[in-house]
Amino acid sequence: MTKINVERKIKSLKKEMHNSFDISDRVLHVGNATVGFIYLKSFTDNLIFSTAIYEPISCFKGEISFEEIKKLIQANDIKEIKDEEIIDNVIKGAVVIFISSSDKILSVDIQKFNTRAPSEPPTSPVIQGPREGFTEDIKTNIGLLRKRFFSSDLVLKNFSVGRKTKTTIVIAYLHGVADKKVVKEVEKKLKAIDIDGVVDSYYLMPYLISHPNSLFKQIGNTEKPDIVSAKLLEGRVAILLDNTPMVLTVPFVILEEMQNTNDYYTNYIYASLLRFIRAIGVFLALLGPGTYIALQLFHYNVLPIKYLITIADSTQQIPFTPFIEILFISLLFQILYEVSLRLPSYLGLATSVVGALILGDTGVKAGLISPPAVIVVAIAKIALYTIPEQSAQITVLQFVFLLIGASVGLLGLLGGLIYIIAYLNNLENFGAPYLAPFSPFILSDNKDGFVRVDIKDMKTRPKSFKNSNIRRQK
Amino acid sequence: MKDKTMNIWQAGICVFIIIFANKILLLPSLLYSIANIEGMWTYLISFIFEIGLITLFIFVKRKYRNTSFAELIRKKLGVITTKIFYILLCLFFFCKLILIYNVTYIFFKDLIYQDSGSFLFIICLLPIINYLAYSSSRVLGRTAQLFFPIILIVLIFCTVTSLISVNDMPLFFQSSFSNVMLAFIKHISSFGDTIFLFVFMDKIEYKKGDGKKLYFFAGLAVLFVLLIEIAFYFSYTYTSFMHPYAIFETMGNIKDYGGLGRIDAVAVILVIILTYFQMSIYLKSFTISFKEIFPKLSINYALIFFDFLFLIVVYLFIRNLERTVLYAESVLPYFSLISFVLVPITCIVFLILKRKREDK
Amino acid sequence: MKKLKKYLSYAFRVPMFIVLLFIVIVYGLPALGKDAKVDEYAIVTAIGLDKGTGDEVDVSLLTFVPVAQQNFAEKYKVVKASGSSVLEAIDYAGLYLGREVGLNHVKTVVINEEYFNENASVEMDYLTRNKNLALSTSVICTDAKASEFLETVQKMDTESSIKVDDIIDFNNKFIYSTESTFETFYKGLYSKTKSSLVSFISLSEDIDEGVTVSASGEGSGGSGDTATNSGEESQKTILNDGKSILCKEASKVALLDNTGMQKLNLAKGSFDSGTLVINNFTDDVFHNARLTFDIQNINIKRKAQFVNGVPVVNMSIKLYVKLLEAKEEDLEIKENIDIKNISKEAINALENKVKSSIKDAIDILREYKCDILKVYTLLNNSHPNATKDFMKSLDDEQDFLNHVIFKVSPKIYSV
Repeated sequence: MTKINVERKIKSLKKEMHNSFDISDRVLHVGNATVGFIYLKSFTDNLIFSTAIYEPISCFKGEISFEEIKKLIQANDIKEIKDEEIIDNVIKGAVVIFISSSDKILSVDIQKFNTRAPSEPPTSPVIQGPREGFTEDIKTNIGLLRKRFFSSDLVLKNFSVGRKTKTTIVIAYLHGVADKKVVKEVEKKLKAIDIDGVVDSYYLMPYLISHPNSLFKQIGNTEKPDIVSAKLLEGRVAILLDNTPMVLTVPFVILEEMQNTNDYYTNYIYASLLRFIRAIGVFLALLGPGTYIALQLFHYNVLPIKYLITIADSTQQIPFTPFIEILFISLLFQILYEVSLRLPSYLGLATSVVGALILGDTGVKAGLISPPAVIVVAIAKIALYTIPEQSAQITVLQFVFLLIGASVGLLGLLGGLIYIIAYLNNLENFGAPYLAPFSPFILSDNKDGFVRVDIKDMKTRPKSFKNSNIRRQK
Repeated sequence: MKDKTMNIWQAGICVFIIIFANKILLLPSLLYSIANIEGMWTYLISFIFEIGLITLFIFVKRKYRNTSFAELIRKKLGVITTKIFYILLCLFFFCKLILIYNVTYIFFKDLIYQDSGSFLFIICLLPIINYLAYSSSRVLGRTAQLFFPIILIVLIFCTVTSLISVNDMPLFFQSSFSNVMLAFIKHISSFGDTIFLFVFMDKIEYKKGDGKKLYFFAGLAVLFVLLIEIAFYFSYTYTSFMHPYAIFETMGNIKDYGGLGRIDAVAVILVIILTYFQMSIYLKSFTISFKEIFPKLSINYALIFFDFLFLIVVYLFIRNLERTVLYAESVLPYFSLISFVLVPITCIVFLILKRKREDK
Repeated sequence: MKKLKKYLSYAFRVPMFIVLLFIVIVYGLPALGKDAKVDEYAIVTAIGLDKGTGDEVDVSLLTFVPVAQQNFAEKYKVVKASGSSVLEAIDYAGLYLGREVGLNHVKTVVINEEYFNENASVEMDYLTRNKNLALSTSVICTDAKASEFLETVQKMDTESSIKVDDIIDFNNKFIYSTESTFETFYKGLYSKTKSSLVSFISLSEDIDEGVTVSASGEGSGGSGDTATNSGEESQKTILNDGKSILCKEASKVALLDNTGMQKLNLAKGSFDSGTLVINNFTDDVFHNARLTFDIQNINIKRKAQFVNGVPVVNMSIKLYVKLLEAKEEDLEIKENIDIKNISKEAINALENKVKSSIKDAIDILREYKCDILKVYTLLNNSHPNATKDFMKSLDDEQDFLNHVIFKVSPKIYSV
């Protein structure tokens, strides 16, 4: 058995870790042996260290051995590690224990840091249903997932990513449901990431998707464990990342954006109505301002005389041309939105009053903007948030369609729409067509598409992507 | 790289869309001037040919599942014959593209783009059809599939509103059969569109029993076209020659509907969507044919070549309705022989040869 | 240079981005300075055609004038211009207005009677070719100047919000008038006898005359504009009394009053509402009473046959009526009028009335050789060969109605 010089070992380790101030070390002489401890005081539970590790060892009478230490420690996560794993373990909140009489090294995980309790995520409020949300602690998140699957079929695989951050990633899937090829592909892509550090799950997205430069979201993300559970049951793979509550799910189809958690916790007829309204909202948001400006600049003959009179009378004193007016109002709305995101809540009321007054009332009375334009843009901007997860994409497209409508009119608008649909049809990740189940049309998946049927009628898993077992219920 | 395939539903939708090419705008009034109301029978005769083409396609596809039409011709008739065949097909599709573009350009210009130049149309149409032609057949099929419900709903709306205004039953068989055939031959270029199926042969997945789906879509399109023609001829009878935009003008009989304004604008949206897809299908067929002629050149060259040629022809040779009609009546019918004579004969020959081999 | 190539290569990966950029630069930048079409075009809602000096045509356009206001009241003005053709006159009108003339919202075309004395379709040619005018645009004939007519319409609309389009729409459904659009006009013009009916609405200076819609006399509000008829206050009113002109080859052959139109519409069966009056009626309940019936529904079935080479048209008419007014001195009604059916005598009287009305209508059509009832189409569709032979046997094909026998069998039902 090789004897090691504990003090020297600790010194060299501290030097390797650049003598960071939060590295703590203790040396204990027990009998003829020297026991050394090295840990991060900022990241470990000092109480557990003192009571469960240090005290039992220090109180030991006699010749202490490596095996004795293992027995004495009253902690759960004890493992033997190799020399090259010491720093990794220390960094991850373990206390590493050396004994002079042995070259074996022990690691005890006593990681402790402040984390918030699972609470309702602000991005996914619900009226009815679970309000738990993931937190920044991956263990908590795994726990939240585990308690929804009292089955050994929930498989969790972990590894780390990021040369400096060594962030823990966990892939979760249901054995016998998720497609093995998809799981392998996800694993392969994640393991191939060679990056300094990963701060948020958003960092992983470009490595997982086939079109990283695309505007469109190609990976599902959520902060709610019930949503992740539902997606796992459909055959998807979830990717949990430490230090972020956002869990990614693959494969992703655009239908997921149409679906809202509230839809599944309410009557299916009402849910179907809400989905239709969402779809209408998306179209209004995308094409509303563009169509309005196209009609004004190119196709006035389509408008009935009464609307024409309203628009003509309203726009008489406006100093701007219609295109500039609409751009101006759209920009104002966007600025207002950005401001409201970043303002402290106590200033929010003042901003909304100022925004409403300036845009809604004073602007019109001053003759700077016309009421029809304000209405059109306001409806479009509000309709944007029927699907908040896609608001970024729809905002960009709204501006694009506005430009197209003002430039070339109806022909361009419809051409642009066809192009977008064709482009989305080109997107395919992990074997799932982006626009499934609408294109290609999959009848069984449309039971949970624009309409939602009763849960007992959803007998199969989605066919939009591969899974191992299509049958959900009899 | 092998082009991704489209399924039979998507192929059927493409057939549905292509059957409307050129038939619901100018053609009814042109046929009236030759064959009066019997212009309707011209459609029926042409649709018999179209259904015949589809039947041939189904037979050939069943026998030669994973082979392209070019490979078939190459095996049986040689490389040079294949190239000649595909040169003719290329020209045919190019001519059809010019025809569709001109007819719809004049339609849009008259109705919704009064003071816009032709360049605006080209800049809207060309990039989109180029993109759809450049993408795989699967993307084209899926996009058409997604727009199909919109097309169907608008089409039903247009057809029903057109039929509502029909109040007269005109007398048929006033014009002789020879006039009907003359009308058919003079405007043969507006028919025979389903030939694209042969060019797309290896890009369509086909399983046993899929033929019915193709017939279904073709039959549905034929039904709609006939209903629109019935509405047109029955509404106008003696004044049919005055109305060059059939689907739009039959709807014009309805006044402002509940303050919604000119609801015949819906027909314009339908024509826009159909035009994009028809031109995309033809352009895709053009590029596939081009690639058979020049296998070493990529699809980009086909598209660039087409774009240049298209701009030259549209700006220099065919600039107004009169020249378009002249071109459709004088030049195009010769190219249409490929879909009415050459391809059917070739297919029949292949089928006979296959049968003989199977019998042996 | 290398960096530029690198960035360009990024951009070319998405060619659509280049296309969008191109569209935005070429079309989008100019669009920033582009006015709305409603500011470039003058919105015309009605057109009037009058005969000018010599061969000229006077065109009046009822144009919407946008005004910066929040109460959305509509303001119109009438612009007049002359030219050697309708298109030229409209161009001059555009010159006066300083805008291009947009005809997409024209609902009514008013043509002076003088044009119908010759061939109105000659002057209507431009309006027919123009694709902006819908086929459902109403065509009316007036004995007054079309420009005066439009001015009166303009005042009426401003002061009373009654639109002439609403009056004409109502005419389409009423028994005393007829549907009169471009479509019906041309369909009639291209039929066998080249006959059509056009609504006739005149102006009256006597506000007590007949049925009128008046507007108080205020100025038309187009100061300083040489094209508008400012200054002179017009006291005229629109007189919509159910008249229509019967046209043959687009020229007037007869002016039918409301009674004539009622008879013609009974024969056509194309109306939604109307009344029938029986005078001096006597039965168990009534004595020398005037009964007015409301026609709830009419159903006409026509069948043609040839008897010894002579065409016979059997018209089976089903009228559903309800007694709405009984005018008699010292009338005593003892029973509940709603549950009482009309008597047999009343039915007989109504049937005779319908028969005589239709007979009068046919006589009018025979007199002017106008086949408004589409008898030729009926004969030709059912017996094309016999019709051919019949027409060949006539000296004057246009006069064929005089050789057709009509058998009218009305049936009256009480509702």
